[in-house]
Amino acid sequence: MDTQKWVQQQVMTLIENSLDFKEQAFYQALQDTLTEQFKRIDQLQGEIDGRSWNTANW
Amino acid sequence: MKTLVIVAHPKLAESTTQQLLKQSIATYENVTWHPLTELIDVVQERQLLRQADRIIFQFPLYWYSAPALLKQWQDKVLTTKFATGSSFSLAHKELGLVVSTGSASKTFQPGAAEQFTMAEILRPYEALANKTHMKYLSPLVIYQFPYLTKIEQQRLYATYQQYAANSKFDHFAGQEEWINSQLKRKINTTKKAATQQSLQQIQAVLQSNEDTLADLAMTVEMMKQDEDD
Repeated sequence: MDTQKWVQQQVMTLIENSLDFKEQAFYQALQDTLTEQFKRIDQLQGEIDGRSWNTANW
Repeated sequence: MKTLVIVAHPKLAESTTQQLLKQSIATYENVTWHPLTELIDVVQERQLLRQADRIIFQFPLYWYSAPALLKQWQDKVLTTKFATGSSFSLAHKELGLVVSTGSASKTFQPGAAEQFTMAEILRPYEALANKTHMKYLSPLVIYQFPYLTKIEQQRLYATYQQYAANSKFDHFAGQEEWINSQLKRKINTTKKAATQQSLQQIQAVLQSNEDTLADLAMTVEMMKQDEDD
């Protein structure tokens, strides 16, 4: 299992095991932040890849 | 950072939206929840304003404006002499708005039911911030609260906490920093060993991602500079 799937499963388990609205809200915000981080990492890696293969710079 | 939340709601006790918002910041020492009544002590109000770094007007949208409570407060407290003139007592403070409405988000656009965007409707507050040399923050608008799902309510809960207490809520890096600090606090206060271990592992990934993002952003920046040369 890759890191993203694993860590997001961990947070999901915390949400499911919590009975407190406030705590669940925090874990949800944590989950959303992790999702956004992984998305941005993917986008930046894509951008680096794209710029590396830009033949105009060869 | 000290925040003053000026709540203008004629039926505050009955509002579930306001109760949720109030609960979300209940333990925040630097956030003052200040509901308005018709009795206004101008000296005390100005004292509260002077102490705050971020001032939030919080109200339900009544006929495209705030309830009369807020307008009455503005007219009495924000006199020309206090807010502009020679004193500019609010200069360099931030002005935020938390506005709730029963209409859907998609109706606030040209050609839709409300015709005008929320930014246009809230323009008088932007003008107020401009005139008094305050920094106008992007408003936090709550559309159709009763229709929010539990997860949407929880997202609002967390978003509002940052709107009230995070000085850098409007940048992703600021949000990351905020979540990271809250997570560290949670690790320190969690008693159950298994939960604490899980939180520590999550925090390690969060931190690692933050570092990776900073490195990648720097690499992209360098590539852009090379391309410009």
